[in-house]
Amino acid sequence: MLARGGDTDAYRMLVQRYQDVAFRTAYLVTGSASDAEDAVQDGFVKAHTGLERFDPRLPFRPWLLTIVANEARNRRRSEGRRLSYEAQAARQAVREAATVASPEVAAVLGEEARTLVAAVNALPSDEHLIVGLRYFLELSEAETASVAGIPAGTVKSRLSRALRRLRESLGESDDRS
Amino acid sequence: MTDLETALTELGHHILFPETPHVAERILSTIADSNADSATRTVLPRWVTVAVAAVIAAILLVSMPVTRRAIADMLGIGAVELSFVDSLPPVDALRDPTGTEMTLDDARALVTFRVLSLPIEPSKVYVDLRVPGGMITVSYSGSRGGDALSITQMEATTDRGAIEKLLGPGTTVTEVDVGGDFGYWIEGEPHVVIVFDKNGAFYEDSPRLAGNTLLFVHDGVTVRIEGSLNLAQALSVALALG
Repeated sequence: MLARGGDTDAYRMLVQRYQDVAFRTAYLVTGSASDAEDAVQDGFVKAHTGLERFDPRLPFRPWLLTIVANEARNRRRSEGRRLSYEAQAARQAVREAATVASPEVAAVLGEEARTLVAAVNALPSDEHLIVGLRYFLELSEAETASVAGIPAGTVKSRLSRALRRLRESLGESDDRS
Repeated sequence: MTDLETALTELGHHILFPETPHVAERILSTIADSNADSATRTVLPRWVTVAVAAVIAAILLVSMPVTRRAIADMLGIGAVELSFVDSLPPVDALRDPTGTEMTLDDARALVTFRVLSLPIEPSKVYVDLRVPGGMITVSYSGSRGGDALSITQMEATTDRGAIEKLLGPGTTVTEVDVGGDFGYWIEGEPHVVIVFDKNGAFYEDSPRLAGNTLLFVHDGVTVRIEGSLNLAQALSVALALG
C-alpha cells in the first residue's frame, strides 16, 4: 500500500535504513570520518531532489550509493590519504575454529585474521578500495563499479589481480580456488 | 565464491568502521530549508511534487509486487483490454478525446459513477455517452501551457471492453500497486487507443495515439492517467484523486 501525503517521516525512514552502508561507502572513498559524514549528508539531500525522476522499479541502493560516492570523491582532500583497515579481535571466530574448512577460512576465523588484514592493506590503492567495497561492504560488482566510478569490467580485473596478490601474500598457489 | 572471497567477506564483518553518525534530522532540516527558499519549476503543475512521497513509499515497500515480464497474450483490467500487436495501425496522433465537451459539473451528472478529480481546475472535459455508463475524459494544463495529462474514467465492467489498447513491440506493461489497487503501467512507444460500443463495434472517430499511461480500477471505476509522465508522477496523480 502506497503512502499518501507528506514525505518527511518516510524519508527519515529511508535515511535510517541506508545511512550505515552510505557512511561506510563514503568512509572507504574519503578515508576520513568527517568527510564521509559531510558526503552522506549532501548525498541524501541530492538524492531527495532526484527522487521525482527516480524509477521506483529499479534498486534504490546502487543509485543512492553512486550519489554519495560522487560527493565523497569531491571531498577527498588528497590522493595520498589512504584508509588502513583494522579488524577487531575475532574472539567468536576462534570459538568457530573447529569448523574451518580451508586455510583461507582459518586465516579469518583464527589469529591469522590480522595477516589477511595486513595483506589487504598492502594492496595498491585502486585494488584496496575495490576489495573493501566488494567484500567488506558486500556491494555487488555492479554497485562497486557505480560507486568507484569505473566500468564493471575494470572491477572484475582489479578484483582478479587483488585476489592473486592476496593468495601470493598468504603463501597459497594461484590455482587454488 | 572462492574460499578466499568467503574469508574476505567474513573478515568484513570484523572490520572496525567509525560509528555511523545520525544524520537524518540534519538532512531533513536542509531539505526543509531548501524547499522554503525555492519554487519548483516543472512542466507539470506544482501538486505533482507529491510524487516524491509515492516514490519513497515504493522504495520502502519491499514487498511491492512490481515486476517486468514478457506478455504474450491479452490482458485486461476493468473496462480496458490490452492487445499486443506486431505493428500499429496508422492513426491520428492529435485527435481529441471522443464525446462532447462540457463542464465538469455537467459531466458528473451524466455518468453513472462517482467521478474522481484533482483539486485544480481542468482545462477540458469530454463525455462520451456511447460507452455504457458514460466515459469522461478530463484534461489538465501544465505550468507551461498545453495539456499535461488527461484522466479518463468509466465503469469497470468485466463482461465487455469499452477500450482496447494496441501495444506494439516498443511498449512495455508492468504490474503496479496504486494505493492498494491493482494496476498496469504502460510506457515506451505510443500505443493506439480504440473505443468500442457494447456490440463490439469500434467508434471510427476514436483511434488515436496515446503516451505513457497508468491504468487501474478503484471502487468500480476504471481510471486511465495519460501524459508525458514517468511512473512516479503518474502514481502521484493517482493518489491525489479524490
